[in-house]
Amino acid sequence: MPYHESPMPTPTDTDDALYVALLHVCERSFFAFVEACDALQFAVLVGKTQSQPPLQDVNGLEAMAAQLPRWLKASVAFDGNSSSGAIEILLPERLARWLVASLLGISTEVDLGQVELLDGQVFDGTGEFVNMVCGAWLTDRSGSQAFSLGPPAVTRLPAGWSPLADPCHGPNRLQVCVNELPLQISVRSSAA
Amino acid sequence: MGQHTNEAATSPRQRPLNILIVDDSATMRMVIRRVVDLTEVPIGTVYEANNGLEAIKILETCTVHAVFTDINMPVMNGHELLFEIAQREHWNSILRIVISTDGSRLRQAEVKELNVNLYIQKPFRPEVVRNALSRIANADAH
Repeated sequence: MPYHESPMPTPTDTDDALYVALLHVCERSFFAFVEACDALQFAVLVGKTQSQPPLQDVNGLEAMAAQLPRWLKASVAFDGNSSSGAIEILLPERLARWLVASLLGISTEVDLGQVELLDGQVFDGTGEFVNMVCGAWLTDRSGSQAFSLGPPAVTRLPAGWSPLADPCHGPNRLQVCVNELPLQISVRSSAA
Repeated sequence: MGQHTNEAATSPRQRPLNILIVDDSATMRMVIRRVVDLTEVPIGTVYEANNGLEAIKILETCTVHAVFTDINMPVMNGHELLFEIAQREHWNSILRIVISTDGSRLRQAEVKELNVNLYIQKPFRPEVVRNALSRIANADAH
């Protein structure tokens, strides 16, 4: 049954549709490789991410603390004919930088930490990433129905934050591996 | 917003196309500009606008041959911009290409009524925009 005939998809339907949307966007515009992963594999990837060296050479404890691996939260609100809510993506800043550099055609062959992008570019590009994923997901779900998206919001989470300690574990959550780095995507639905 | 002139791409056989890219994401404007620059179509000046209202101001003061516009934008969205373009007779010849995350059939049908030449859904492969621009520009030249 097409998604537009089922206004409230089950978590499994949502997971599958989100995965397809993410795969589509990553492969088509960001030239990134997406793999499904279970909770354990995701935890291992998060652990590796947290222990990676800082993005830039720094001197001093304060500067070093500011350079600890950080996560970004990108979200976009949607309003469709059958439902409304928001899509939220959590990803390491390192991955966000790689994705934006790839979208812009900047070489990503060098170490990820050496990809030179302004914070504004990373935030804007990551916002476009969640915008595209949400649009692809809604287009698949909505079929002929139009929808509207709010402006994407991207925030940098506090140093030391980890998705493993995130208490917001909803049913519509998908954890994947993108270019060997962790990414979590979730849908918060509300009745239209 | 900024503008960029590509003088090296001029060809005696085709008039250079002045392009207007309308998107509230600077990243997407940069991506579209890169793709446009890669075409074999002679490109003149590339203008950029953050929303439909900025685009109207550019259209009122500059000669633009093709508009690439997003739909979801603050201040004035792409649908409103296309409506404004359709209302003004002297803008009838402007090529209109929509690049949007909204791939729904209803949205596509809505903008088709506003004389849109092509509707491209994000994410798109660069060659889709490149080929479309070449096709449209060649058709326009004959």
